[in-house]
Amino acid sequence: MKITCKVKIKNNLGLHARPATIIAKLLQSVKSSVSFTYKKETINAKSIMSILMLAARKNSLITVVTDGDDAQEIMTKIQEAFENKFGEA
Amino acid sequence: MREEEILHGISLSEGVAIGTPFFLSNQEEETPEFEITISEVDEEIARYRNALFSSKEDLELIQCTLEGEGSEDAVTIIDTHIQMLKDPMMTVTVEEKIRQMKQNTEAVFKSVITDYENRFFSATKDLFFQERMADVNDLSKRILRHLGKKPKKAVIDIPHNSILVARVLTPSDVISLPVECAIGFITEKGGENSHAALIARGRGIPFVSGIDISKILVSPLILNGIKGKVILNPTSKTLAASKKIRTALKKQEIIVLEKAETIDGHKIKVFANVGNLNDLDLIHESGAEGIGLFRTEYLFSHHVSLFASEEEQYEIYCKIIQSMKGLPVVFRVFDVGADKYVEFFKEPLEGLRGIRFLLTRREIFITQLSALTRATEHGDVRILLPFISDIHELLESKKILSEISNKKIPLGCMIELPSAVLTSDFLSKECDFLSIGTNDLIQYSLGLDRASSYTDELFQPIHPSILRMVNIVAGLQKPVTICGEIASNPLLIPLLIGLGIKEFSASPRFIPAIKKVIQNTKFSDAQILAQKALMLPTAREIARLIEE
Repeated sequence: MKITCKVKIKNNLGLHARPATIIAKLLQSVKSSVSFTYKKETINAKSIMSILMLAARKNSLITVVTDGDDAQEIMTKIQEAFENKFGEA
Repeated sequence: MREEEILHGISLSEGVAIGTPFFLSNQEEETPEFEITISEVDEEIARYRNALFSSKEDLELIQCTLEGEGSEDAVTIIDTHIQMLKDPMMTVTVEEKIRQMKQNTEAVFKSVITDYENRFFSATKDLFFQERMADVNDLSKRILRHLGKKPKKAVIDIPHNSILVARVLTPSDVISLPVECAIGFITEKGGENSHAALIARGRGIPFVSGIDISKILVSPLILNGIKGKVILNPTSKTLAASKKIRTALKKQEIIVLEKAETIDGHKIKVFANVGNLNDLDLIHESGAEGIGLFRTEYLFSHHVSLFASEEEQYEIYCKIIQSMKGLPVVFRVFDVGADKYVEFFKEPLEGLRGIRFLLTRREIFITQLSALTRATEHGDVRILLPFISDIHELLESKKILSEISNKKIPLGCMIELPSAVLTSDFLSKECDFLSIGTNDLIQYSLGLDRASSYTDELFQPIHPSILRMVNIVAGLQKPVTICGEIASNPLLIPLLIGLGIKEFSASPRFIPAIKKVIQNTKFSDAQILAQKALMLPTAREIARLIEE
């Protein structure tokens, strides 16, 4: 199963080291493949170093694609993390 | 006489420091590059995996220490580094490339990182995000260090009261430098959002960047982290003004002034480690109950200490004792190390460390003891002998002391060699107190040479052998102080209390934090913790136990 969804970055500092760490941890044991697309750049969301390369600021829209058996479950988790501003301001 | 000169930069961490610059080289180690055969590929990959594993171990222990210090931001940064180690780019990509390129791991790893760096900077024009490359480089250096045959020490020994000057500083640099030594940071590059800056702020160490470091010469300077400036060749007027600001800032930091006592009413004493007269004001403010370790070799500049006349020494000792207003002062007599002062002596110093040196160069020992004996008139003076390995050294020192004066001055032994631990029952019968110096004890017990990785040392304080040795000494019927870096790690305080330690001596700035931990510790719980820790075979398991 393949799901595509757009999420908005709501925390003040954008996808900096801390959120990238949270995402990488979240996806660590996930079977599905997960990609983020931002400004035409598509990266493997399980790679914290790739997430940092996106340099995505607050209010940016990220296209998230999850593909695999647990695609739906993972998508919900990712949406929640962005929505909760990764526990930041 | 050069004139006062002010260099303007940007403030990354507030505070004021007065000290001597110490230049940290950013020069990268040359790494070998060579072709490998197909049969060597698996071996190279195994070597790489080991380096990743060792790097992870490093980071987890650093994290453990930082948690104890309560620096949450710093803990998060290390967490990011740990996650980066698991990044497919660091794992799968590097391994695939080793197979493809048939080159040694170092060469492949460096090409992967360079490739990432190029893509990173072309994709990221945002300065805030560009700072993160510093973390990747920092981590890369750590991995490369572990790939090396013998892991090099991340940071060399630096003198007390140093202001670190470097082109850039990595988060690991800032974390691994002992707070007693590095009192400020000056760099050319690095922004407010650099993780090195974040850690410096967490530790309250002033940090200014954007400075042309080629202008800095090796002479005392003022680092003003509030205004973001560096003052070279300060006039005595500027110096006095800066000292005032510094004292005012430090006063704000005082949190805990009450006596250190556990929840269940067990009294613990906390003393200060001091190496120079500038720190004297800080001691009372920190709430220390005296000086637990005065490193007399740092009193005068360099080798001058050893040759200062009795009168010169007497005057300075009196000043220290009087400033303590009746609180005890433990003077450790000149501790000449294998590396310190060697250049000032014509004859080789091989093996003549601490007490051995003093017993060989008796005139130096006698002058110091005479000055100290006279100074006892002014307060509570105790004398501590460094690097004792044999009871004979103690007996000989006692004899010399008794020939100088018939006053009864408390005499103690540093317990910093395994030989001293194992004979501490004999030593304790012949002296008045013992002081465990964990830094040397760890080095000599675990067979580390000076080139061993600094970060590894975070692991060593809780090595089962060290805990057992502390347990042996703490069980003796004599006052025992613990004064190595281990005593300034709040995370380890409950464990040490549980082992029976009742006196700690640490750098003044750690004292409020140490007292706070003591006040939140229950002695009965600490005892259970210590008993459990003594049963564990590895430092890893002990670390895990402490974390729980």
